[in-house]
Amino acid sequence: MIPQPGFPAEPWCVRETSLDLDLLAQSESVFALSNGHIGLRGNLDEGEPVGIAGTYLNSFFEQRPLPYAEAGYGYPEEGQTIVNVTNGKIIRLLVADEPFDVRYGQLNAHERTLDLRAGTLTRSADWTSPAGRRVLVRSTRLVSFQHRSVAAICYEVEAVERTQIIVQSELVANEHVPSPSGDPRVAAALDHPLVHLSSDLDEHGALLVHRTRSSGLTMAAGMHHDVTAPGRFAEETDARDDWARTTVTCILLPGEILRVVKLLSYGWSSQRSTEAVRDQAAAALVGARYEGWESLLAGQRDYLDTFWDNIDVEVEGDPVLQQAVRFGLFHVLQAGARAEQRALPAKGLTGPGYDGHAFWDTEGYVLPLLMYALPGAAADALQWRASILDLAKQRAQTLGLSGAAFPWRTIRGQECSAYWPAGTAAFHLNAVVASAIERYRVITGDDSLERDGGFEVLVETARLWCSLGHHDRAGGWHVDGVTGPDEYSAVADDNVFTNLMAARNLRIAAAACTRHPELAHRLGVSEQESAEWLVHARAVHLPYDAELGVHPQSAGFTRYAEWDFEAFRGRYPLLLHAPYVLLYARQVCKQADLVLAMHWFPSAFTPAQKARNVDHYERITVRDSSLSACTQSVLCAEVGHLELAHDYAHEAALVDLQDLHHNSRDGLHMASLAGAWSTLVEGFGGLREHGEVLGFDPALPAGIDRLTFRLRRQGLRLLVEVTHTEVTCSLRDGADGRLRLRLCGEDAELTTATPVVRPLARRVPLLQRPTQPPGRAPRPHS
Amino acid sequence: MRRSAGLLLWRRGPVGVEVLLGHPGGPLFARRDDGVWSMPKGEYLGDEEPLWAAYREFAEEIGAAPPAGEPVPLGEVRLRSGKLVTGWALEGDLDVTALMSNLFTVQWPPRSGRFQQFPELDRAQWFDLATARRKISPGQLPLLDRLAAL
Repeated sequence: MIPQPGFPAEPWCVRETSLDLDLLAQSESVFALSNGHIGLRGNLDEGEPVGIAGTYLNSFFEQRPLPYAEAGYGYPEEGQTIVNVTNGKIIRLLVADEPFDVRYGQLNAHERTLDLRAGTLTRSADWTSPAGRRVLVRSTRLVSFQHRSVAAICYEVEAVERTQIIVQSELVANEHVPSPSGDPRVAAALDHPLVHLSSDLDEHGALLVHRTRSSGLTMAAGMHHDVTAPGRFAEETDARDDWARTTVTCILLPGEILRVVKLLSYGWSSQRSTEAVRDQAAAALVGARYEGWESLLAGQRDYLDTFWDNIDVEVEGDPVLQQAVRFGLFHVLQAGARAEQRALPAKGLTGPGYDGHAFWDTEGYVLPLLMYALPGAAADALQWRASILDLAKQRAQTLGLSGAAFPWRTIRGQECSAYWPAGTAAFHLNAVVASAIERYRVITGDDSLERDGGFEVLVETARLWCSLGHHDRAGGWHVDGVTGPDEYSAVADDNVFTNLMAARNLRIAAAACTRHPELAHRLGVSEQESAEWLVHARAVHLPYDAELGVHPQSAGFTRYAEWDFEAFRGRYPLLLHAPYVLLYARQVCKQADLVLAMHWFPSAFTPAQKARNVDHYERITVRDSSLSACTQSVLCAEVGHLELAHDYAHEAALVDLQDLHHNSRDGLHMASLAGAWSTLVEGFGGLREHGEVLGFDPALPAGIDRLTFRLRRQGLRLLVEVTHTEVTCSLRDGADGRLRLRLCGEDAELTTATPVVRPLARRVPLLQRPTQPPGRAPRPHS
Repeated sequence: MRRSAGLLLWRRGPVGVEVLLGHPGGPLFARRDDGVWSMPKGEYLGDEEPLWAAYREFAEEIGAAPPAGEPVPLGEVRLRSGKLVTGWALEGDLDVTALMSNLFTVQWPPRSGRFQQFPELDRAQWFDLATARRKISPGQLPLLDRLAAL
């Protein structure tokens, strides 16, 4: 059993009450701060000890070789890895010449708190040096939501007895970080990736400019210090190629405090000159000084007040889930808030996991939540997709396909997946992107994304499906040889999820053409071409096993041999214990696939089919992917296994707070954290988008007394309150706000003046609670 | 006001122009023939372009895309129901033996509480103009006349 940090279940913060160095890397991820542009892992101020040092700028990457034992046509040759950029977090402390290091001397107390309303990471340490000098150290760190290029740290040292204090505040480039691969070619490319360009300094701070060796991206990091000391102090700054250091020294008497406010700024560019990037960071630093620490703090809270007002979820009766869902919402916000037309990586900017790549789960899991919370950020993320459309068209051409094929994993837009069966073949990504663009229009009522770049994505992804699919002799439309969401299957025919997504993509594109004929003609889409899309979509084949009454996730799946779960008891994840050739040919699922289809296509399955499909797939899904538990939770809630759904909700929500996949050290699982919201709002709240109409069909598990959630839809703020006996929906805007709803299966019109209340019947499952593979049942939630 | 758009596909047959009409599905039309056939058409929303909607409806009701060609506007007709129908003529051939029409759901028999699905069109057929005049729903007759006058 891996030791778990104990975070007390508090509603608005995540608090670590003592420092466990064995869990340092995980806590660095949990305590990471980001605004989507700058990411600071929760590394200790003094830089050591460290789990994984991490300072990131969204999309700032280095190119590296992608080595293959056997090359093949169309394999990407270059990889992209997020770079640990110049670290501005470091503040070293010397107490009477002895460095403050938690591994030495006596750490009397240590506490760190991530405050979800203040948007800060605070730390307090009570430390006695090996020579017996005791100090109290307090720091508060923020990455500004309001000022995209700015981060700040307020660092205070309080003396318990008279002592000399030296604070060294630094910028450090090319820190050592673990290589993402054992391959020496990769390690070499990523060792010291930053080449020095310039250093500037004055008494109060410095600014370093570097460029990546291979990808040629230029970055600048600047720092400035405001020192408050009770008496005389000295301050000086020095800089070399890979570091800069401001040193402050003074004598403190008992109870006196030295306070250093460190303002940080970052900027980067792939095109602008060294001077321009330097000046950009310098300007941001002046802006931060103009604001000042207190104002940055206040701005942070303002920003978060609005965020929570838009999207907060209250879970009465389950304080653990309450904390976890807010933690998840906070980190999703951090991942997306100011990314501004850059990719939203699977780990946000919380760690080096997955090389900092973005996958389909951003559009599939994270953006739907952001659309209800912070629509502008969701639009920006989709604009990023639109911005890499040309690369996606080139990729499709390389593959001999029409339209556009977006990369399975990437930072800048080029395909970086070295394993095509679970990368290139997973074409559903393209439909998930298209579907997110349409969902944005429906949820926000804003068609500017569609008009400005989104439309082209809809058309080119539709064209991709035309070249991937074909009609059989009887007219049925099939997509063969593709990989669906489940990564323990690959290159199969007629994956139900993929086929439904493809049909949706085609319909969305055709519908967009009827709204924007002039844009369609500009892309050479004729009325006839768009009619062809509909013909494919309506003829889409969905395999069904009539004997079992279950949908095979792809053609023939329910005929496959069963997996010997007993033989693999305790050997998870399976991918580390069994070859893919076996996994691919057995009925074993890494993650929800057909079940995800039922979540995203609620009307494509009857209630009885849903119940039987859940029953079938629960028994063979091992959840080696963190994308799975949230979806299973939503469907278990829908078919009435509310307690099981509650267990899965905990698993999804606690993925990082309890390190359930044993890799939170590499960064947080954004999709699962967004999925925590999904388990509550889409699961127990029963939220579904039915075309243009928003629907709710709530049912609570016994352990939740009351669920309250907020959403923004079409510019209106919606409040939904669910108890075991009734649901109340109300609008919080304007005098004449109006929203069509489908509440518990019936149409309703909600106005600002009149909330809609409906009684809730107890949800009774059609089938018994299903079992999971041996040893893979979710942990009971209490 | 409800608006609808449709495509009148025509070809040059051995005895002159032929048009493609569809017979509406469902119990109400099961035993009716003359005066109920229609060009493939359907309603569209205010933010949609009617010509594109006409192509969409053709695909949805016939199960095949209209053949390539330049659609020629036939103008509008107002039906007795008040619905405004915009039509286009398109020259081209199509094999409609394997019709795959959309389904719609209706309570049938009325007030029975039983909902059944029926195809929007249960068959589609090529007719010469004279026969088409008899078969087509009277409200759409002016469109046939305008086609003949082209």
